[in-house]
Amino acid sequence: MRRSISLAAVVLLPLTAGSLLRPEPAASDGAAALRNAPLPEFEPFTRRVVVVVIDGWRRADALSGASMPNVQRLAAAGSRGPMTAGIRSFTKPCLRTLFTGRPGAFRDSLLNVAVDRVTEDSLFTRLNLARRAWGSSAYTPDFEELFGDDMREGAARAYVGKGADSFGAYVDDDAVEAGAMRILDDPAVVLALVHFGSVDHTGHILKPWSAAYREALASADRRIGRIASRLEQDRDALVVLGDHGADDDGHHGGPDALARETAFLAVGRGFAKGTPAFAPEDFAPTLAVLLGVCPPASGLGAPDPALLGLEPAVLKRRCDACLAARFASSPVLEKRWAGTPELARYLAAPRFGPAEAESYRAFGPRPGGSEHPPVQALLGLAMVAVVLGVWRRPA
Amino acid sequence: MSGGAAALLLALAVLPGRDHAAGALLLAGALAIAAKGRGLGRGLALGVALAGLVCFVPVARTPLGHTAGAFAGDAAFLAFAVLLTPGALREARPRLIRWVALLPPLSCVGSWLAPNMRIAILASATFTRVAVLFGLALFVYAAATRQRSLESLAFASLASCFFPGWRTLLLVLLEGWMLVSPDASSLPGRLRAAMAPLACLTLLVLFSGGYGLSRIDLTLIVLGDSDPVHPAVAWGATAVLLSYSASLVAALRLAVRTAGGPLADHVAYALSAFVLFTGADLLWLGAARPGVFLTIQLEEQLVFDVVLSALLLVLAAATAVIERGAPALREASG
Repeated sequence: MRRSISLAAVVLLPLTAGSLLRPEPAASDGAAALRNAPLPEFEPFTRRVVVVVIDGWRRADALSGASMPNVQRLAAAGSRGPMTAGIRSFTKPCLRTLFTGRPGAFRDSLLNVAVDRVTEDSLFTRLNLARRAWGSSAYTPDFEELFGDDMREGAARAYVGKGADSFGAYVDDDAVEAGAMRILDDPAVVLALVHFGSVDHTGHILKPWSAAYREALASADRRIGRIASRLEQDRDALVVLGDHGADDDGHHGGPDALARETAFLAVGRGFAKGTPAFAPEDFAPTLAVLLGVCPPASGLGAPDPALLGLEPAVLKRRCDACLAARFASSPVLEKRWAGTPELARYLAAPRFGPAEAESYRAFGPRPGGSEHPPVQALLGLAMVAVVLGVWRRPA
Repeated sequence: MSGGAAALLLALAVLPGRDHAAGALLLAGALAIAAKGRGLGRGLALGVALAGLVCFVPVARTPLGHTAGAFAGDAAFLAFAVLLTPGALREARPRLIRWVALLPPLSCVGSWLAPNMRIAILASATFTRVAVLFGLALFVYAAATRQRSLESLAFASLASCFFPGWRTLLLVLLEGWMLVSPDASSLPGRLRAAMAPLACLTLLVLFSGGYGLSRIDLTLIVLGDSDPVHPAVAWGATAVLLSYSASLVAALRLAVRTAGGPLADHVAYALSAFVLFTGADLLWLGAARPGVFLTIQLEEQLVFDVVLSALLLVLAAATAVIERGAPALREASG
């Protein structure tokens, strides 16, 4: 019995691991065409947007703001509301969703270290194609690992906080803030990404109810205050958001509610006042509109009209132009969608509201069924059969 | 394997969430043992049930609960070490082992007292590393040479580094119960084969916080990693795997003590159960088209089961090697 079990495990486990770790399929010609599609560009609404990602920003901390007076002050002048991260509540899949508008994949579940490079287009691809400069300063190399192609292709300025490693075992937010200030010194930069890690790190190690965690929140708040002081509110915009939440032990990565619940704050030129809920898939399209470029073509999100303080007719005109160019650049999409009555109805709609945003999202490509091929089911069946067979044999 | 055990494990294999089932199993098992036990054994079994319950409830995750857990864990470990050390020293063979036997528990206490700084050589992390490495070596030696007090002392020292607070209390009570209980209990024969897999499941959930990779306790990284410029990522990864191995080893020892029979049999039962769980996860994922939430839950389970199956495979190999070398080692130790 022992020998049979060990033999079965030795044979079947590598097969299972192989099926889990299989590489993502290479981007098809269609996807490459979509990535590099020449989409229209517009006059930006906002001169510069600064996006501050607070890793593991729990919703309760973000909305109550007891330790974050600067966040409270900024929220009074802009929008603040709940946001719910994807079901793979690790940092990399969440960053992928925020900046491409696409949900995470199964491989993202593998400990947050085996995440594939982004091959489809992202907000950064759109900025690169429009020849707009952008920069990132982050405590881990996550942005580089995910968006390395975009960083090489575009006018990107990237700074990675020293001492960071794949486990996030050491976090130097001072270096991240210094990198952010260097990016803001460059007048050509239209988008600055700042990724702070100490809140998440402290939550993991010292737990979210500790005094040290409160201090980490307060420290992040002071950094936000210093960054906000570098912006002109009537010309620039600031977005502060969490990539994911954390449970009461400081853990995250799974689909449980606390690990997914986070929040956002958006203030400055182009943003409305209010407390709307916001979807991570809509983040890149919303930012794209502000910066005068089209949303990522492969994303599933749409600009959020509740968040944007823009004239609905202008927003619709821009989205229509992007949509039409997107159909023109992709033969597959055109064949499937361009002639449908839904598209005609959408294009004829007089204004761009939440319902229209939903229609716009409906035109995006949908994930094609299960990520798990039938061969995995057969392998599973074989494993169950082998174990039951061994159990039936007398020891 | 008997029909009852197979049916129980099959039922667990098709459950999408195993956390709550595992917790309920531990509490029910501990209470059943307490009901049958007498004297100290009964008290310890009741303690296991209560400590397991506290690990589950949210009160443990508050500042007050954390402080109380830290105190309870440290006090229980200290009392256990003080009570066990004379017996462990008496039975330690050869004489050299007597000196080494004190190293893991003393290092544990040292890690509480030493400053959590990277500058000094006597930092908390240094003591923790000594406790883990010497505790592991001593535990393997004591298990192979059947020195039970020494085995318990070494394992409690090793595992308390990974599972502080309430979990140390649970661990110490379990060790105590295993020491005072008879070699094999009156567990019904048809459930004996299921004992090791069920114990693995429950202890993993209680010690690691949940059935899923998202609950991996990243605090383990700091076990030996206090240098911010050159973080010991390899040590962190080793510590994570060692912590799972500690849960599995504790479960296998519990199975041997509760159900009897050779250790290798229980390793084989646990391995076969986790291969079955992996197969059931794959079957559900590939054949059915469940909703998004269920999919991610199954994916978490699948990755977790694959990692645990691989660890159990390594344990099976280690058990075979130790079983082969144990007689010679016992003879040499005199």
